[in-house]
Amino acid sequence: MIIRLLNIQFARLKSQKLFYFYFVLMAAIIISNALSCTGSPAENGMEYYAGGRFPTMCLQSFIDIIGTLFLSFIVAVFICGERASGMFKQPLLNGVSKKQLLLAKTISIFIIALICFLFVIIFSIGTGFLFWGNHVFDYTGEYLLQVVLLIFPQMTMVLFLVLLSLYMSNISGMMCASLIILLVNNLFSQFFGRYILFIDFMYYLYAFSGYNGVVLKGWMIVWGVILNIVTGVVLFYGMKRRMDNMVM
Amino acid sequence: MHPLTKLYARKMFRQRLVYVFFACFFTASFFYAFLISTPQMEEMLNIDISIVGRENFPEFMMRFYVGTVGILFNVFLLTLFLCEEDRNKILYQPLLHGESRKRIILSKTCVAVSMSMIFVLLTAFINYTTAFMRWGANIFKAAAIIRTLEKYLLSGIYMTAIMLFIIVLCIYTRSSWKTIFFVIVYMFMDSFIYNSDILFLKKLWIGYYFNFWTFSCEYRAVPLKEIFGGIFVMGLYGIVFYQISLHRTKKIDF
Repeated sequence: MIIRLLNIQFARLKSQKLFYFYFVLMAAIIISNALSCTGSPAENGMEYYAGGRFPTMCLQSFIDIIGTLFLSFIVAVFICGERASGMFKQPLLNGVSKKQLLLAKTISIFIIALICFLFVIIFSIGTGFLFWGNHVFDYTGEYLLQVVLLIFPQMTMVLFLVLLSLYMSNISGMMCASLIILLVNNLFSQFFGRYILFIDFMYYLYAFSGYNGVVLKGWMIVWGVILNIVTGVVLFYGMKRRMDNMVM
Repeated sequence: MHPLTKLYARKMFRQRLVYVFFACFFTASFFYAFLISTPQMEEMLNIDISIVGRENFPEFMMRFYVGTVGILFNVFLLTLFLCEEDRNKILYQPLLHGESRKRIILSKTCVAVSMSMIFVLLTAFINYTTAFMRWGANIFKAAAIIRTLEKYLLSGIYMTAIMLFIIVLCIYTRSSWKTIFFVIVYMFMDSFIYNSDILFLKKLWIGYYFNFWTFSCEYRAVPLKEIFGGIFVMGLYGIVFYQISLHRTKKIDF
């Protein structure tokens, strides 16, 4: 049943122009990043990223706001939009349970997030190769570690957005709420990073990508991963509870 | 004020998200005012407190609202106000009570336009309040205040024109996500055109003057020529957007 529901979700996704727009947009951002690194990198303060660290720079552009906002957009369209237009009820009429529906939605959004994330990685490496040749592989170890670590906060972020969407009644409200949350979180990460790193999973989106310039220590990596897993479990439990109590 | 406009204004200001947003903005402004003075923060945020602090602080904080965040916030509110109402079939309900289509759009436009201006002035008030709390009377330097308030007002005019653009999008697309999508496209185009070298296109682009006022004339007065040029272009765009929205409303099929 879940596979069937997933197929429906992906069929819907394929017809979403928004999804293709994301690829075009990200490609434009990555190419523009590469151009700003090649022009006069020292003048732009880009010499650090030119070459081997170029994929890290693109990852940071993705993490900054675009990636999360796009994810929130997809969640809003897939959950709030469907709920508002009454399409959420349809699978339930065909014998699907609320739990199965929620699971299918969450898995499909996970896969979308993964595709978007992989696109940034592959396209940035490809673009970097075109501009700097083999130098783009100079810091592969550092870069791959970031990619692996970032999977955790990304997954928790998906769960968080799904939970948020279950509480919001429409796309605009959901987008507005996620914008506010992102901005507040960014603010707290800037000013109170040393405190919130113990409780805020979103902090690790910035920390693991090197966006906030914090030098990662071993214990921070371990704590970040544990925090994200624990938060993920709590969020999943919250989603389940909300779905059980929700009037469709 | 027309009763319909009053009704829409009440509806808009009943949105809790507006209050949450400005509470967050106040917190952000407060943190920036009090916490950026440390050398670590200066280095991390790549700023020089001797430049961005004191009388320049409200101008420094302006960019946190006007531009990307402000436009996104306004588009989310407007889609809630127009597209969601349209989808729930309450946008054109006043027609049943004898109101004209033109009246509905006029009332919506009045509320949206005043809302955008009020929000910009509210951010000015918040930034001046936090700057006063941090630096006291040192922020009151006549030349700086005139320059900053002038920039806030100019930004308000820009936001007003953008609101009219968003109304046109809402009426044409009749869908929240499509409107948000096109506004994001606009923001990318804006940044692309501002950074391009095509001067003719830049001068005709609605966002060019705003970027010029905010970034090219940072912490200094804007030349009069650029002020009037910008107001003229934005006014022109505003009129065109308003006429398009009226034209479309007349033709819309419910």
